[in-house]
Amino acid sequence: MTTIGPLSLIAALILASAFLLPSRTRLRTLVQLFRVQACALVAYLLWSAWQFGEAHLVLIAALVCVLKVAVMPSMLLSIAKKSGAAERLALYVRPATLTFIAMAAIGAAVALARVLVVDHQLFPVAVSFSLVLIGFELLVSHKSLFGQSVGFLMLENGVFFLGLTVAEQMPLFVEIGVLFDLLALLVLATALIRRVQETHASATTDYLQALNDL
Amino acid sequence: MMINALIFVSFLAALVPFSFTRPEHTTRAASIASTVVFALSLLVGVPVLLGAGPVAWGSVWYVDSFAALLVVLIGTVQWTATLASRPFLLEEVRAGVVAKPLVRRYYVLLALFVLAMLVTVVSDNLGLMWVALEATTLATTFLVAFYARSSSLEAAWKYLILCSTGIALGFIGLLLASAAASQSGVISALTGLRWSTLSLGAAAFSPSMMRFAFVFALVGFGTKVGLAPMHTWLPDAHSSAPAPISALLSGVLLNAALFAVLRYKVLTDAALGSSGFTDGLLLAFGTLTLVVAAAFILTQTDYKRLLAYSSMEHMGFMVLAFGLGPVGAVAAVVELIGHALAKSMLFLGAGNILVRFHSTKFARVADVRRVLPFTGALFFAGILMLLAVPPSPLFVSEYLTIAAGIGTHPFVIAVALLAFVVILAGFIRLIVPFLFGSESAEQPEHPVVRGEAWNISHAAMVLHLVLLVGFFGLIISGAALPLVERVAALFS
Repeated sequence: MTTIGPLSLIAALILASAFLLPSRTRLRTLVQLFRVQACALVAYLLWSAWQFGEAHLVLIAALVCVLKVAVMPSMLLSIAKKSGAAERLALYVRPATLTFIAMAAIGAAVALARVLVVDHQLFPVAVSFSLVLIGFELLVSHKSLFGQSVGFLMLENGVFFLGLTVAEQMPLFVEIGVLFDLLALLVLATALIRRVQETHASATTDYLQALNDL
Repeated sequence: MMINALIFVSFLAALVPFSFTRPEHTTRAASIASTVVFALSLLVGVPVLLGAGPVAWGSVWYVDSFAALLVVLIGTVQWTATLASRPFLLEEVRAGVVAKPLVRRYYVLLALFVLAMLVTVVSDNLGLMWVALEATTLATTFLVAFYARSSSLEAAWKYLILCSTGIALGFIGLLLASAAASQSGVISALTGLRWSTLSLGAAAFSPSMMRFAFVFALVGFGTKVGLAPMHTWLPDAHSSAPAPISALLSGVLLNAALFAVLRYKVLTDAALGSSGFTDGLLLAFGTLTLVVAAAFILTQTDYKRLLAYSSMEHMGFMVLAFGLGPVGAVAAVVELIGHALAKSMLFLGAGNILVRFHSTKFARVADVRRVLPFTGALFFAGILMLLAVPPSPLFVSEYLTIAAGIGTHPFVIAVALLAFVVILAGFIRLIVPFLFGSESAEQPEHPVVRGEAWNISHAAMVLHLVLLVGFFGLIISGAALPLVERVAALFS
């Protein structure tokens, strides 16, 4: 699948949303940025479907729209509200430092993409790996379980986007299976977060450090 | 057709608990369902293992000798773990540790877990295999958090996030392999994810793409195998889950994840025309895992965590052995079978000990041999099996690995031997007072009653012991060697 003007623009929007995420410390902002990223993914899918005449991408776009734009962000915000979780997210590292790490992650992603693919795929593949690396950065830098959940969702967006760019055609049942696995994972994650919040009156890793052999 | 029946019945087994409300009836019905699953797993796996050749059903299922071995192991361990769950859960319900409605949830999730593992190993499509492997994590998260304690929640969170992140990285491996397949022009995009097709055309794949695919698969699925340094979820999850679930997690789930890694090894070796690259990575990760496990085994204070770290050790050893060429692969297959049976046997015993002593801390448990005569004796036998004392099949696998590696990789074998010495010392230091000591270091929270009645969990442990000793006899006599070599030949 080749990338041309509009697709590159959408990929740039996806990258921008990823770059902004690590420095955000409010749950609502984090979730809304994730929502923007998911909208951009839907746009990428629809444009690709129109450009290359691949009808099955419309179905995938519809599923991504329902699950990643509507259901998943709403689930996170709703659980946070119901359980009385703090709006401000606790981090292990300062937001400014995280922004620098995100820049380094983008550099590393470009280097990895250069090794793997030819020129016309370079940008979308670099964006995919950037999402994976920045998602991983969010996972390890957030004390908040909500922040970690958004990090995982973004990492998964990166893997999903890589699938769109390098894999010629993933069987439909695999695409649907992957999306529903993700939904089930988020249902479980939110249920666990709720239990942690109820048990400790806090949904951060500060209270999840009893199991340690060191 | 038999594979369809196995998958369908495994799915039905997840619905069975909904028909019952009383725990006694639910446990009985689940035991019957798991017996049928066990019988079907033998019907699917044994003919392939005996040399009938791979079995396929359309483009969905494909059972070669390695998949058949895992089908039989999953079928056996799920059967004994489900049978042993009955006395375990009824005692937990009687003691008020587990609420009655949770018994139904337990069996539903257990059956879904088994279904996901079976789909993982019989899938021809690597995408479906990925979905099923992720489903094993989803099905077991609430089993890890079953007791709803703070520590269980911590273990479940780590398990969910770390394993899912690992498996997401594994998906990148899948995408790169798929891209390499379609770029090669040998395989069309529509069949590009089928293992049976990929394995035939892998020699034409881009070597650089397949190198990266293997690295992502090893790090990603290796997280689920428990390889260091991605292992941190394993001791927490395996020690927090109810004991029969730990038996399945340690005994067969780790092998199902290793199965995924090895599928990518075969493809990568074919693309590169040599196994040097993958063997080097397997040796490095295997040795590191063995060393990390040995360090934590030496300092353990919890017997379920000890068994969990021991699982890490054995998985590390298997990975190391798979990196040592054809003889190493034979050793790894023997190790895989022996570890699956011995470790699940020990976790079933650990369940009986937990129910009686109400603690998993070494400091609060002593004299198990007298307090629980059947469990104590069987647990001791299981420990000897795990420590590769003949007639344990693990003795054969460890001997073969040393023989395979001492000439080509003396440093790796020296490190492995040192780790074994440390592990042996750790086990002796912890297990001798645990089984034979007269007094625990700390006063137990509840009074400990001596004596136990024979129950189905003991029968399950005896079955594992008989299978272990029988397998040792079959290897030594040479009768089982063709079977083991048939499986190992897929990787060498």
